[in-house]
Amino acid sequence: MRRVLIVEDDADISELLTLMVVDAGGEPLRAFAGDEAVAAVAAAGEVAVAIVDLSVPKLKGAALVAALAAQVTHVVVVSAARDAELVASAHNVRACFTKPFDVQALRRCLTELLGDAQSQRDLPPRTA
Amino acid sequence: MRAVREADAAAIEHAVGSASRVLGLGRLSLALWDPGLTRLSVVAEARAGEVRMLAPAGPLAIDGVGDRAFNLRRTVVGSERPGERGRVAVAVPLCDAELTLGILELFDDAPLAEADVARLEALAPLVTRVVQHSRLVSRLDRERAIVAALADVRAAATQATDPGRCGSLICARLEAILPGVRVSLYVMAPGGGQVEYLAAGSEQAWLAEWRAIPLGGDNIVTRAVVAADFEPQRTVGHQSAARYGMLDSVAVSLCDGPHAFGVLIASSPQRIEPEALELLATSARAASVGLALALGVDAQRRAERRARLLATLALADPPDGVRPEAALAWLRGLARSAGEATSSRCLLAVPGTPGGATPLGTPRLGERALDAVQRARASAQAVRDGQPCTLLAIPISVGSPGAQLELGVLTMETNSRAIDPEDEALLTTLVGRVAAAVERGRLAEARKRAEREKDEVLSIVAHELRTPITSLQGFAAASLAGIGGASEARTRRAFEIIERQARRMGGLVSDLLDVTRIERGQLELRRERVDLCALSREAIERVSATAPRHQIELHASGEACAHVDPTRVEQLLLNLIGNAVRYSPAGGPVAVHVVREAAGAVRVDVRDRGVGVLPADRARIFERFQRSAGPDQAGEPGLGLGLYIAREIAVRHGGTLWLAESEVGRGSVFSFRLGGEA
Repeated sequence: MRRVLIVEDDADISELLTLMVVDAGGEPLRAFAGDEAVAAVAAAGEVAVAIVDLSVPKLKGAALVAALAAQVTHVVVVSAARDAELVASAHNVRACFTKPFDVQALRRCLTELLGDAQSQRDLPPRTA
Repeated sequence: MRAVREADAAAIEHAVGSASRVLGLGRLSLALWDPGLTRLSVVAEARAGEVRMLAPAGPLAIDGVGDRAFNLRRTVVGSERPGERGRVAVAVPLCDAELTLGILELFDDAPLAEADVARLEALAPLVTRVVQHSRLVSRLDRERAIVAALADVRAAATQATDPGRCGSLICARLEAILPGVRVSLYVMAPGGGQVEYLAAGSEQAWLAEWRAIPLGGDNIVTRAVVAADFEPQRTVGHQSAARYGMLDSVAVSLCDGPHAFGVLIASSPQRIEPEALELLATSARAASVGLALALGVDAQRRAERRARLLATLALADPPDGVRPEAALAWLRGLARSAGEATSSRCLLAVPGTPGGATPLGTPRLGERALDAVQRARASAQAVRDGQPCTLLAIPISVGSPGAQLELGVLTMETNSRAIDPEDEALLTTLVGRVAAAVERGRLAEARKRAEREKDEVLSIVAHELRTPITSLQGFAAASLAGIGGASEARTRRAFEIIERQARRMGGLVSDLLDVTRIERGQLELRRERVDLCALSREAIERVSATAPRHQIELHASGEACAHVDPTRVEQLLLNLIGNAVRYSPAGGPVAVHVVREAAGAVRVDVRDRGVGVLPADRARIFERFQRSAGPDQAGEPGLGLGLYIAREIAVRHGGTLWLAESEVGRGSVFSFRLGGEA
């Protein structure tokens, strides 16, 4: 299971994150709004990692993180929002990157999480 | 003054009765000269020992033999008297060493024997002595009373330190010993020019009208004040006094050293006799000492109270950052203290709220009186509870001229006809302090607001800059790290994005600079003749290049020229068309209509089928750093400066920009109009 959901409404940043997911060996799924993200996870079945920008249209912020955390193995927040870290710590998010983020650090994080997700494959799914 | 006082009547009655019995003839009559009324009046008549005492009759009731006897100071025997034809009259003067006190007359039907005339002449000295004695007793009584009254006046004047109470006591004492005479006291009003009512012995109708008497002209009050010598100034039968049933009026100055500080006024429905005048003069002298003291003490007390209030004020500044409402509450407390310090009613009036009472209390003043003084500092005469009073109103306003905030009016109301300049100065100081405090508060609030706004703007700017920087930094770092491979196509794509995001950052910075220029009034226009149809076409082409999902149409025919700055108007068009694209995320048509209007004006409408603007946001979206807060808002949020800058550009051109139509979920039409004569 190497699927990585990218929830980001800025097309260029979404493209950058897609490149990084592919580079880390993941299969990118792109969503530009919160409701699209939830629908994408439901359609995809298993998702290893969700990279989430908190300020996307429709469903957003803590509600979006809570909705995704129940369905995916790991959530990583990548946001410019001031309360990003607060939301992240409240929802057991694996990592939180503040925009503009360190590309190398995110790359390491993705690699690690994809490896971890691979090893947790047969364990019961996490609950939020 | 009556010819015979109550106390003397018995002695005279006895004397006349005895003489009548001794003579045993006709009717005996005693007439006395009344120095106060300057006439002879019959006071007693007796027949066979039966005496009838008479009230003073009309003017000069005695004539014929009586009058002659009085003037000649010798016995006159006559056979006639008007209306007494056939009767005999004998008049004997009652003389002491210098004066003729009166006459004793005997009337009989038959001629009198010489012996009877002699008996009458013999009785005259006895009656004279009785009259003299009674006069002396009366005079002694009166003088004793006067001495006692003066002692009372002095005591009243020195014991009471409140001028009003002191004055009332003095007047009451004088009225008690001068029957029929009404006494009142007036003191110099602040600033001079008039004397104003201080006290009276008993309430009189005329006091309500004469609360203050202006000085100047030929009247007894002015004469008394100018003379300043305790000499009674008198007027008899003056018209204005006659209106109140007063025949005689007397004014005596109240002096402290060589200067008059007030006047004592006595009025009577009868002539005031010389003795009474003397008493009034002496009383005025005695009263002056105490009154001057009381007035001095009072002035000193008021000065002390004012000083204390100012000291309190200096120590207890209103809290910094005080809001107008809090300042008014604070001032209301001060108004109370000011009222105590100035012995007046000080009230705070604040603009009323429609349909409700003012929260800080409404002064119970005549609306018109308040209106008269509300606009500017002024004093006015007013009437409260039927009594005249003087009203001073000082508006409390803060801010610079033209941008004033009216907090209310501080009013002072006194029973005087004039406001004490010292009191006015005190109130002015109070108002000044409050206004300054409120102004400080307002500045502090404005500073805080500016700080908050600055923080908010910085936060918005920082947030908005993060997005392009994320792309710039991300693609640059990814390229360097070889993420996504090192193919030429990949590298080119990275550079395209870097270039676009750098341009986006440049746009944000330009907008910020434009806002600064607008706020400093430095947005300069380089006007030239421009075809808005052509300009719109260019703008549409530029937006279309970045919005492949949108169909942007131009509806225009021929030329629509205006004298405008092409760069700025293109910026305006790009803003409106860019917004139309941004707020129709699902794509869809955007239409730009260029319309030639009357008088050379050109109107441009930009119509989209996007999300629309919520009714609550329709005014706000034209403000700086404001963005539509629609829940389904999509695309890049931006700084919220586009419409603000666009409208400013239109306004700087002498035009307008407005939201012509909008329906949530159906789209909007933004329009602007430029050129033309208007």
